[in-house]
Amino acid sequence: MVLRRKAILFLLLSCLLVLSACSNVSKASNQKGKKKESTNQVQSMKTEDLKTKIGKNDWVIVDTRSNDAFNGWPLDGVQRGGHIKGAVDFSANWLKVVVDQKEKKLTDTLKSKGITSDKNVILYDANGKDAQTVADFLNKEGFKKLFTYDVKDWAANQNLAMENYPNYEMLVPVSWVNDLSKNNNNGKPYKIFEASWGDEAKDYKAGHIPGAVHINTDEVEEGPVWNRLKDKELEKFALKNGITTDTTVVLYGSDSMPAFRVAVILKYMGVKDVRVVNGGFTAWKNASYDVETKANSKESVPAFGAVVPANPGYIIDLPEAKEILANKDTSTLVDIRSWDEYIGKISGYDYIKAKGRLAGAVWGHAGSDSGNLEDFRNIDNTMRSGADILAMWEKDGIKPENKLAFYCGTGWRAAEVLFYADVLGLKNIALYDGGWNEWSMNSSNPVEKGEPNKK
Amino acid sequence: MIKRIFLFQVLLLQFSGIIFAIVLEELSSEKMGVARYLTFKKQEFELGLFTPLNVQIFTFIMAAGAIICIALLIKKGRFMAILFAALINMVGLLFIQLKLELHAYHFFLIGLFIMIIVQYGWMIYFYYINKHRDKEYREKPNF
Repeated sequence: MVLRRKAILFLLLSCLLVLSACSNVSKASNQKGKKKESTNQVQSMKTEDLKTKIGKNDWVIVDTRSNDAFNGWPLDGVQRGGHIKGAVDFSANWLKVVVDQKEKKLTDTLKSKGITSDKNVILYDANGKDAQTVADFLNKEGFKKLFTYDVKDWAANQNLAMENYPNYEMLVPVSWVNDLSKNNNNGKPYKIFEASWGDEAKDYKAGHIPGAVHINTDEVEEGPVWNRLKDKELEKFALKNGITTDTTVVLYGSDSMPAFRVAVILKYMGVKDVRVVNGGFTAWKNASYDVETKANSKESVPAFGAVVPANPGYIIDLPEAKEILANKDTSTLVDIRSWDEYIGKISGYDYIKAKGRLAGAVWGHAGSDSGNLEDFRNIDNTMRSGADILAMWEKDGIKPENKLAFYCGTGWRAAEVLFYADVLGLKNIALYDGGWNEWSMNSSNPVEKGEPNKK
Repeated sequence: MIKRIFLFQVLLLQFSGIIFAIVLEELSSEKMGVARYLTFKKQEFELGLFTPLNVQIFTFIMAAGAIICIALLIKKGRFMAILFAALINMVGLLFIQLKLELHAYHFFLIGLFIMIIVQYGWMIYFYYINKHRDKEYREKPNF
């Protein structure tokens, strides 16, 4: 009797096991089917089809390559650099970045670039990977109408329009820096500098691009105003660091802002070929290139090759800033600080007491605080697309054809934005070096607070 | 017990200024914000608390303090509180005269001022304690 009962129980259990196993198999096969279905949704597109989609409201063309390729560098074997005219950027690299609130930032970016699930989305790349990576991400976000395209075909046809920034070469990809070191810049003089504050540069000591020399930002500016040094002192700095007007200077940092600050000063001095690494040292590390920890010493040169400054209009001072404010029809003083700094809620700095802005200055966006510049950077700290920057400024009434002078607290954030404006090919641009710090030191200088009156 | 805690807190206050200055000096080589803040404060101090005239007055006060303390030492004999006060006054004088290249220079001076003022407090405190003891000793009946 007991044996019988046990046999029935065993049979029941076996049936249960077999049933649950079957349900798992069906679930798994369903998932497989779904996955297959989602991959199937991404169709590849031909050049002739793509041509007919440009400019249509229900279609959006997305460049999924690196920011450098979008800007103008011919990477991954494409014949022409830059992006398809009218395309927006959403790099596959952004999906690999580790930051707080990544999901939110990415979805906000999609929205701001007009990449919405109701549209047909054409994702293009040149390596056969990036478009698929972004397609997988968009699939998860609920996008259904996805297409991929190989931009090499487009770039090979000279009749098809491609756009690049007039001075895209000022912002360099890490692969270019690696090639520069390998081919020794074809025998021409070059220097790679890691720029950050302090003699005891922790970032530099922790690891740097092989051959790079450290520049302390205090070598080019001094307090309490934190303007650039006098021209004679700047020349000494250049000689000490082995920089002449003909040296190709490559700057980078763990935070790129000091590199841009030094770059702008070097351009003002008259160095013809100044480059900044797009994405900074993180981009170098992510590309798995060699990292050096030995400190490299500075090698001096006897002569700079020009009278400093050879490019005086690139950085202006207080009298010129006042002139700009007086000619509002043709020139604009652009405030590159956070909104709270602009309206005078905070000063943004421990060492600046006064709050407010230069009377008549226009807000040109910046970031969340005095140390950030999110409005001009992508999630991987590369330069935000020119179309996005110009659209942002258009809303604020900043006209690119006007003379634009950028300022911030002490000239770091504004230097980065000036460099970007230069990359975009804006002609009449300058940095107001003293910025809010210098302006607020003299109580007779007119100051405004609160939200501006829009006319 | 409460008295001990109070005395310990006074001792802590006496050295807090100098400790704060040392921390600032250390951070000034590590953090750009601190270095710039100290440059800003230096400028502010030079226009306010540490104008050349005020620095002369402080020098005079410290010199006078050091002389008085040394005189008291000679008169009263070995007395640690007075000796320490004389020493801080002299260190303060040296700090002002040498104009050391320190980022937190003015904070060190403020720290020394705090030390001197509290030390004068200690001197008065110990003077009264000793006086009270002497009085008690004298009033004690001899058996």
